[in-house]
Amino acid sequence: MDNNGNYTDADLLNAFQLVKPPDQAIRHLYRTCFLMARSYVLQNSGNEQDAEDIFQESVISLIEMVRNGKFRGESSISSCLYSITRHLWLNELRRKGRALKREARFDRENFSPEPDLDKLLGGEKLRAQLMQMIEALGENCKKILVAFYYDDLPMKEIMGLVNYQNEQVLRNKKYKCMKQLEEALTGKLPLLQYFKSALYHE
Amino acid sequence: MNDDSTQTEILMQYLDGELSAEETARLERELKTSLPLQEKLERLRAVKQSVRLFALREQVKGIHQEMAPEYRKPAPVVNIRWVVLRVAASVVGIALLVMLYEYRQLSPSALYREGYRPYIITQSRGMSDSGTLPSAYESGRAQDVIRIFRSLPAPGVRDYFLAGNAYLNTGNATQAIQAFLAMRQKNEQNNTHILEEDAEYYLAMSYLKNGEIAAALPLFDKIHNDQGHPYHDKVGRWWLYKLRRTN
Repeated sequence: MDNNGNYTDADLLNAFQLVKPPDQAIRHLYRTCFLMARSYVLQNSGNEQDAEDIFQESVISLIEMVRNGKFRGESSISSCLYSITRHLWLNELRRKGRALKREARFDRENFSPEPDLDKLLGGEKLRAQLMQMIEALGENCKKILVAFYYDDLPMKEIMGLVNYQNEQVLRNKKYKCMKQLEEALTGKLPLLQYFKSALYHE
Repeated sequence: MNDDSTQTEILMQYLDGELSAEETARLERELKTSLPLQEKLERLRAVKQSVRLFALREQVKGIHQEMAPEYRKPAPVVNIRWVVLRVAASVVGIALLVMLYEYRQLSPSALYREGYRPYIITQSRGMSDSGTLPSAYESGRAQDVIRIFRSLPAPGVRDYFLAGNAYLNTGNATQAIQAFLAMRQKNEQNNTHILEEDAEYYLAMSYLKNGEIAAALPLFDKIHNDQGHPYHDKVGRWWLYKLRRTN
């Protein structure tokens, strides 16, 4: 990364492999790619809010693709992100049932540098289901698990975040939160398969 | 704690790397022979990954909330005025307040965000030729366009034009101005008019992006006054008025 917060593609790939990518790397995507994506959505029956929502989803999908080893490097990061945006927006239009002439044109043109995006980006519904399950855990559980597994904070610091006086109490709470989610996953084969196939790094 | 709870706790400690070497070896031996234990471990792994996925979404959402408003287009003034004009006389006061608000919001960067739309290649615009630079531009790879452009020994008019747009897309207005000026010079030298009106508009937008209002105004005036200019509709009277106020 240079002094202006600009990342090369190689820097971005490294950043997205980290459990928690640096905020600066994600900001770089917004600075360099958002206007182009927004322009595409606005020119294809979308509004400002659609553009923002789709771009946010595209950034998450791109990071997941990189992590799962599905980004093949055949195109630049910005180009791939643009393709994901177009792909997700077209799906959204289809979902909303808007029949557009452009849609037919989209199908004819093979402008996606990453083939089979549908396959690569699959699991949208599963991810949404998972997010609902985590939301249902409650604020303290979310804070504890995110602080431990994402922010990599030591237990002593997490105690401060959730106002627990005793490390053992915090450990017990973490155990209960994990157990609750583990039980919710029991019997949810598609979700488990999703994580197995995603090849997430430990 | 029952057996199941103990087992779960040991598996969690295993995932968190908190078991001793001896305990790890014992558990791994058990895992080899116990399918229920393997399944439980898979589920706990999935829990850990789903937490990370959730946290990534939250992180991106936070950055999105911080960044996206910068790019939001201000509400169209004409509509506000239209609504205002349809109500009673007291609205004059409200209209003045709205104009005062707009005046306070004036800045070259706000006007640029309001007016800027990246150039899109269409055949009717005279960019039907193929090549690595146009195709890189078409697929939104601005950095690749710049890289290819820099490697060209003798760039043509269209190359300068697309490079100018790529620089503008990436926020480098100074380089964009240079590319558009070089392109216009080429047209003059060759006595051609390739993409001349497009370049006028995007050069003016580049000046605006760079805060050089005095240089941008004559170009915008020309586009506004020429009803046949393809970008005439993009340079409205009110927008131009606001631009003048920033100068």
